[in-house]
Amino acid sequence: MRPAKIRLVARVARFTLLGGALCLLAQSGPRDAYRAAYKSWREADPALERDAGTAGEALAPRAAKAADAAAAYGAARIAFLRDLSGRQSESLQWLREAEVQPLPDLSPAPDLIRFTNREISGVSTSVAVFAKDPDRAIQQLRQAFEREQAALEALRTAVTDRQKAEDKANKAAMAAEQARGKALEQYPFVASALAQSATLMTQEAAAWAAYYPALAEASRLALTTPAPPVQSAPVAGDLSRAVEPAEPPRPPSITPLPLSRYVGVWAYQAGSKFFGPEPEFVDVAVHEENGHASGTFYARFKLPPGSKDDPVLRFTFAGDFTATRIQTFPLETGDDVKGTIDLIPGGPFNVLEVNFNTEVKPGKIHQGDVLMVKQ
Amino acid sequence: MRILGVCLLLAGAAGAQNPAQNATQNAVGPSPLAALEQAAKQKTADWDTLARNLDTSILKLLPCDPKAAAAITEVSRASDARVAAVMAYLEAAGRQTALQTGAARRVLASVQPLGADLSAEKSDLAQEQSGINGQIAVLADSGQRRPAFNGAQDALRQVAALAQQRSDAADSGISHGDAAAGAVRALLDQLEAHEAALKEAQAAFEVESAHWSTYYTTRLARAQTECTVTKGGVAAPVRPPVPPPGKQK
Repeated sequence: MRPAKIRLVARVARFTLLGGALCLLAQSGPRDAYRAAYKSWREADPALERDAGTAGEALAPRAAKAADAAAAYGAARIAFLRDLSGRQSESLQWLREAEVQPLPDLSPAPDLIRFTNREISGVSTSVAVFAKDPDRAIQQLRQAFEREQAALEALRTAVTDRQKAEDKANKAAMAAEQARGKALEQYPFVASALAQSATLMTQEAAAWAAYYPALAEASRLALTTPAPPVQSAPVAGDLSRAVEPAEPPRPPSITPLPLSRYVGVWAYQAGSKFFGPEPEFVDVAVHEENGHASGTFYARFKLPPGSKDDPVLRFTFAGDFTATRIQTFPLETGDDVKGTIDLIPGGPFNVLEVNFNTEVKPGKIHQGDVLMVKQ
Repeated sequence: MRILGVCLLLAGAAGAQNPAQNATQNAVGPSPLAALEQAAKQKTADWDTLARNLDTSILKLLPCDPKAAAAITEVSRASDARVAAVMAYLEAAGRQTALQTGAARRVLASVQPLGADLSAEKSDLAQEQSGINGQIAVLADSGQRRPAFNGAQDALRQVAALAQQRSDAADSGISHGDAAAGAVRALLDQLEAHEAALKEAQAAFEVESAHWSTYYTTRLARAQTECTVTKGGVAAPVRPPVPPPGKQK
C-alpha cells in the first residue's frame, strides 16, 4: 500500500471515531445527525467521480476530503441504527425474561375448608346438646359455641371467596403468559431486521472507506494508461449498461428485485426463525417461465405430543410475477383446499420468507411463516 | 468545553429516554418471591401442626387449666404469623406484576412508532441508493472502462449491494412491525388484567385474615366460658368479637 493511501485510510479512521462521536452527541433529533452528515458529504464534492478520469494526482486530496465526510456519515448512521436496534433487542430480552407466573398454593382452600367444616361440626353438636338446657351458665356456654360457629361459617365463606379471587388471578396469569408467547413469536423478526441493518451499515462504511482510496489511486493511474477502444458509449442513467457494457442486453426483470430472489430451491434450516407451528422440514421450489411462477411446497411440522393433526402439508402454487417486492400466489392442496402463499425476499440474498394461509380444515395446518435458505 | 458539556448533557438525556432500557432495568434484580414463598409455606406448616393437635391437647386438660388458654393463644399466634407471611408474598407479587406492566407499557411505547421509523428509514435509504447509483453511472462514464477503475467500481457495487440488503431488512421489519406491536399491546392488556386480579386476591385474603383472627378470639372466649361454667359461676358477659372488614355473614 502506498504511503499516501495509508495516510488516507488512517485519516478516515481517526475522523470516523471523532466525527462520529461528536455527531452522535450533538444530535437533536434521532436522524438529524446522520442526515446532516449525509448532506455535507454529498454536497462536498459532487464532481469527484466525473473528474476521476482526468484529475490524476490532484484527485487524492479531494478523495480524502470526501472519505472524511463519508466516514462521518457512516459513523452517525451506524450509531443511529445501533441505537434503534439496541432498544428493540432490550425489549426482546425483557420479553424473553418476563415470565408471568401463577400464584403458588400457599393457603390451600380445600384443606382450610375441611378444617372449618370439622370445627363447625363439633361446635354445632355442642350447640344442639345445650340447646334445651335452661341452666343460665349452660346457656352462656351455648351462646359461646354459637358465636364460634358463626365465626367459622364466615371464615369458610371468606376462604371460598379468596380461592375464587386467586383462581381468577391465576387465569389472568395464564392469559398474560400466552400473550407473552405470541409477542415472542413476532418480536424476533423485528429485532433481527434492525440488528441486521446495523451490521450491514458497518460493512457499508468499511466499503466506503475502501472506495475513496481506490478512486484516488485509479485517477492517478488513469493518466498513465490509455482507455481501451470503446464499443458502445454508456448511456447516462442506464446503470446496467454503464457498469457492465460488454454484457448482452437482458429483458428487464418483472419484479423490483432480481427474480433470483424468488426462483430456486429453498429449504428450512433447523434453528431458523418461524411463526406458527415449528417445522421439521420445509422444501419449496419456485420456477419461472415468461414471467409466470409455478412452485411446490412440501413440509412436515412438529405437533404437540398426542396431537392427531396431520403434520404434513403439501401444495402447489402458480401465478404471474408482479412488480412488487412481496409476490403473492394462489395455492391449492391435493385435497382441494385453497389459500395463498407470499414469497418475501429476506435481508441476505439467499434468504426467502415464505408465508402461507389456507382455508381452515380440521386436523390440517392452515398457516405458517418460515425463513428459508436457498439451496 | 462548553459545547462538549452540552453534548454530554444531550447524550445523557437521550439515554434517559430509552424506554426499553428502563424497562429492562426495572425488571432486573433478584426476586424476593422465592424466599417469601418458602417463608409462607413454613409458617403454614407450623400453624397446621398446632391447629391439628389443638383439640387433642385441650381434651386432656381440665377446663380451667391455664395450659388450655395458652395452647389456643399459641395456635392463634401461629395463624397470625402464617397470614402475615402469605400477605407479604401477595404484596411482593403485586409489586412485581406492577413492574412488569410498567415495563410492557414502555416496550409498547418503543415498538409502536417503529412502523413510521422504518418508513423513514426506507425513504432515507432510497435517497442513499439513488446517490450510489449516480456515482456508479458517472464513474463508469469518466473511467471509460480503464482497468485502473475496476477496484473503485467494485467497491461501489459492493456498497450498492449492501444498501439493497439494508432496504430488504427494513422491509422485513416493516412487514412484522405491526404484528409485533399488536402482540405487545395484547400482552399489556393481559398484564393489566393480571395486576387487577392480584389486587382482588390480596383484598380477599385480607378479609379472610380478619376472619381467622375473629375465629380464634371466639375460640378463646369459649374456653374461658367453659372454665367459668365448670367452676359453677356465671361468666361475665363476653364482648362479641369485632366483625372483620369486608363481607360479614
